[in-house]
Amino acid sequence: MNNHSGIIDLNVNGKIYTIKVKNNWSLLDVLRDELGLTGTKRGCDEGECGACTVLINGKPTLSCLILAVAAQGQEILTIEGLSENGELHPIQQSFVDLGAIQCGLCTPGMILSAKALLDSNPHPTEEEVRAAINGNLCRCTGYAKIVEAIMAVVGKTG
Amino acid sequence: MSTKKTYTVVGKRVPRIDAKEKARGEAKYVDDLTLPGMLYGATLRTPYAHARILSIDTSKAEELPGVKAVITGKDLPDRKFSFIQAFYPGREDKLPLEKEKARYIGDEIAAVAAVNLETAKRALELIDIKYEVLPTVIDPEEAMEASSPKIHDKERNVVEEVHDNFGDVDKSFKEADYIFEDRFRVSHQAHCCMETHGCIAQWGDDGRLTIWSSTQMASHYQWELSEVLGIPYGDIRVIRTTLGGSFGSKQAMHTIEPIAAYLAKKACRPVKLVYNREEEFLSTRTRHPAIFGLKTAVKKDGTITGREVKIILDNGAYNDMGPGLLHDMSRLFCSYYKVPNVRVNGYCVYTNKGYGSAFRGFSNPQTAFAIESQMDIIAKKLNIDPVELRLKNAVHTGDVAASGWVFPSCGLSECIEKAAAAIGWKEKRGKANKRGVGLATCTHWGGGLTFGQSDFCGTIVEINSGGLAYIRSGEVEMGQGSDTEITQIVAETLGFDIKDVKLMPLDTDLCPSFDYVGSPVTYVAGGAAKSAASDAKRQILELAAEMKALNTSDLDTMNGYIYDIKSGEKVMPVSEAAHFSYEIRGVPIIGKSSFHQGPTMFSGHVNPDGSGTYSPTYSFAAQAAEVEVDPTTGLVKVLEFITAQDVGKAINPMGIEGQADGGVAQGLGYALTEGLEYNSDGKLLNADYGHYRIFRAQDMPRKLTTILVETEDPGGPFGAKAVGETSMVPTAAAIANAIEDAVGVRIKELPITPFKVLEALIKNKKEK
Amino acid sequence: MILKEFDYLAPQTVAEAVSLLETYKDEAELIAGGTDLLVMMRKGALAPKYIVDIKPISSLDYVKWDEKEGLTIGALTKVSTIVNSDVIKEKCFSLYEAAESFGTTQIRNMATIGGNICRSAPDADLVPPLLVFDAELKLMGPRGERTVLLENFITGAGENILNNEILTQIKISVQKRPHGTAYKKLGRLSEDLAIVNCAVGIIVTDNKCEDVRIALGAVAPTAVRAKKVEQSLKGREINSKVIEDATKRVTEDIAPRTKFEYKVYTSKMLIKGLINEAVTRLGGSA
Repeated sequence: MNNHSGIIDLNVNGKIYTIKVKNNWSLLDVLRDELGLTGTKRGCDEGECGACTVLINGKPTLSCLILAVAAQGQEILTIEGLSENGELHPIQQSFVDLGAIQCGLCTPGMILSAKALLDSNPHPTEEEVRAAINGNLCRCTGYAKIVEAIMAVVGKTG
Repeated sequence: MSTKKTYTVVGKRVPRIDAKEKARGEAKYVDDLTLPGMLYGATLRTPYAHARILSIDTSKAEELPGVKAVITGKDLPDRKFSFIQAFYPGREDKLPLEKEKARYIGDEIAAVAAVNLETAKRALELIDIKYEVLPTVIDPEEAMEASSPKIHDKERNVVEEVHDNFGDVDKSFKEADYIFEDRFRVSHQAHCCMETHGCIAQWGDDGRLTIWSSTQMASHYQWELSEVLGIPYGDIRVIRTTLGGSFGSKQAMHTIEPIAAYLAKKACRPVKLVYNREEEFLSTRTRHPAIFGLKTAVKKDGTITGREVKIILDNGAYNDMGPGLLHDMSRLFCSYYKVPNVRVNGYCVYTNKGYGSAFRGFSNPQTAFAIESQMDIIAKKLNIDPVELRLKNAVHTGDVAASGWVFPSCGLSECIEKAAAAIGWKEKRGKANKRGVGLATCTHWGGGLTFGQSDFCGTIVEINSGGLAYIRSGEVEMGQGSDTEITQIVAETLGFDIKDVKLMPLDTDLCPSFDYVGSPVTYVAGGAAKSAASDAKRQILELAAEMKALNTSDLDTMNGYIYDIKSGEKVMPVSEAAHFSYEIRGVPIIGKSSFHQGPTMFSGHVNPDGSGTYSPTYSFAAQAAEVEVDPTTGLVKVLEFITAQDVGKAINPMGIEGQADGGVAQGLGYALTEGLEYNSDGKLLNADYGHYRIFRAQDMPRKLTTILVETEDPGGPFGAKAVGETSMVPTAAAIANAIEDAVGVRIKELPITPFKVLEALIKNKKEK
Repeated sequence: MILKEFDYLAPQTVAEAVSLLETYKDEAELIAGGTDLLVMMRKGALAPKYIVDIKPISSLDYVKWDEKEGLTIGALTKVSTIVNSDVIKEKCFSLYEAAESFGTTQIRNMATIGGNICRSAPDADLVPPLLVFDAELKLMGPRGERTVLLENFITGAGENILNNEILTQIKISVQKRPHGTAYKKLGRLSEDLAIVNCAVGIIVTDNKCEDVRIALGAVAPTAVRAKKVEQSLKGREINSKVIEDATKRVTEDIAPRTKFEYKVYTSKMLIKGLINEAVTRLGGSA
């Protein structure tokens, strides 16, 4: 692929999107601007804040630091793909119930980091939870209620 | 003890009404919105801290395909603006796009709108600006010198002075047993909202301007826009989008709204303008840095009798709120401790740096660091327990401060005692084993402000024919949870289930006017919501009484029903009365109210010496920290942190705890890691999260506790007062005091970096 | 921030990648994890015309252990793979420690060991432990393969000897492997650039220091071995006096450009602490 743009297939939330992208577009650019999946947030565009976290093949990944052209052939999960038939995922429900959400801008990335952790380690300690969300900055909550919300669903997901 | 009323919605741990859509990623922040035909804006910022603009050539940018509008200062009317002009007319000093001079690195010079952001950014590179670079002044003390470069081409860089003098200060020092004199320095702090600033501007065919903005203060933006654009107030509609945090930073209007408005006007298309993170660090406004010379007169028994204070407030390149903030600082030195004699000389000084604005705790985290650090210095010298010293000097309910502040409810002593007990003060203090505990306290205005015009907030509560309540309020949700709180207050007052109460999105065309700042939302908007809901309820009860030939005073509402108070029996569903009103009587049920503060400092509530109260009530807090200091590196680890807050009445304890936790996280950053670093050329060295470090989940203390002290304020809705700001005000001092307890070094400059701690430790060792 | 336009090239093999580098030379940048490159491009520090994406070359993603060969790690192995590798934890504990302290979960899932080495930053997290292990690097270029010591690879801040070449493998020989190792990064917060980072490897027999290697980062334009300190320890009995005296020589090994006194002091402290830690891990005490 030597052109400035090309057609790619992106597998997002189990759906294949065939779209024309430019080489210099990040996955975040494409998710938000081309696919309209604005639940993935742009917090810094520099890989520091984690607001753009999506799961790629189950692993938390920064969509601002991966080129869309390089994201082909991978399973991408965004926050929009988490709740099924309008039902909140247990982690989402726990965030709601226990006051883990304030301004909400970090929330989608935070929830996806939590999901990846619980999928690979269903019974984490509080320290493991903190380590898992250390890449997701939050300026509102001081993280306490987020940690509490994740700990509250330990063993109740999957 | 007071008989505490029981409530069904107020005081409960109610999940936020906006939590589900946020959890699903469906909440729409401004950058998530797209309008048909929308263009993307970008701003050209100067790379010089101080430079005269000689020429601007935009021709190449205009020729670039896809560019729809290029504007410079020449395209805009010569109308300066600053938030402070509402309080101090004539202090406005900022153009949306500067024409003559650039005064800090990041100052706005030109802007472009194009079909996409990539094109807009490329166009910026094609704009050719010739500058004459001028000498810069970065340090505020240097800026005060006569020989320093003049940033606004005026005689001096000092833009505001305060000279308060209450009581007989000279006498208090003459009669003092001890005099303490310390210099403290506090740094810039960036808000770091997870959502950067942004807006979309669109002009209608009728010549009206609509702005979708991430604003904390839609109606003030409306007013500021009207001032700077020179169009009637009524021709501007501001729609608040979901805010991804504000903490004060989205309170004063930035240049972003007028720039977007001009781009949209020139291009005849809607324009979205959103800051990237670097712009957010460079040019959104920060907590003001300051230098304090604090001299305090003390009696042997620890009674504080007088204070003399010098404040140098580093304004940065423009005014925004600096001059007002200086006056606020002054009053804080004789507020929550009884200091009968106080003299303050303060100077607000321009420098060639990014400029300050409102930030959670407005002026107070700065002064609290000085006051509360020195309290521990005094306690140590006098060999009095710092907790005892604070209790001895603390104000109580009914006290009047030398500044004229009156305290209708005050839980300060209770906060101090509870915070000390919770941290294990007696067991842990003075062990000098690398671990230490420290405590600090504060007050903050707990109601609306009275130092400018009176704060006000209109609210309409409408009950529709189906028995649902709709609130239109000028409340300021910015992430902190006031949407939920207002809904709770209305549900409680109406006796409705919370799900039957809907809050309308804030839109200046649809919501009543409001004008107030910061966290008094509980007191001001909450008060208005309560009385508007009471008004609607009265109408419902009167209808039901009429329908059933009962006395209104015998009726009340609960769970959506009107019932007979004596028999406890249901009379009818609210919906039946509502339906009757619309269908049979042809009258809508509309409860209305506007909270108004009453007399203000400007309208005569000022004593001859200039003293007077700022707010109808005040909130209080005490915080206690346990830290561990690594003497080999100077690194400070915060092990435990307690916040005891006098909130009047907790409308939503879960929400308040969350806010307090967040306040602590910001306060710990202020204490230990944050602080913008400028070099001598005025270049900001840490304009990203990689270098400007805020606390992450692993950095926070594992034990984080909020204790709610409920003093039931006589003026607040259900007894509530403002809650949002106190949780970060004394934090830095609590940490500094804990560090001193742990390893015996006193750091008087923020942030308390490991470099400063280690240097002090080594110095200490050498001296011994 | 929008990235500037570039051509995107996705070679399938190392040979293809090398030939692209030879063709486009300075106009091309390799991308592996992308966690540094895209950030630098966004900040305007780099504007390559061609981006050569080597991440899909799966043959460079492995961790292998062989009794004779020692440990070999493919250059495109992700930092998270290193954190989760039992063999690395068992054989090269300090490398595991460095990987664990590297960035955040998301960054570890993206960044590669090869990327960290080739960025050649003074504070690179993985470089000090690899210096201690005398890591050897395999480079593939237009004129074939060569092997160099990591110590000779990095030449300055952000500079190295790569010449249209690709780092393919990192090798830690079994013979050279010191027996007790430890790593620590000094940062202000849990996720931070290193103010100083340090790795120590030591072989102690009968309480005597047979061999020791110490590497420090963020104290000079490149990560450095503290050879003067090492010399003062080698052959000596390990006790706190000997360690204390040896660390004094660290000023001969490092040259911090900022925060000089702080970095010198904490370097000494880190070395002391890590020697103790490494010796403890050997089952002894210092």
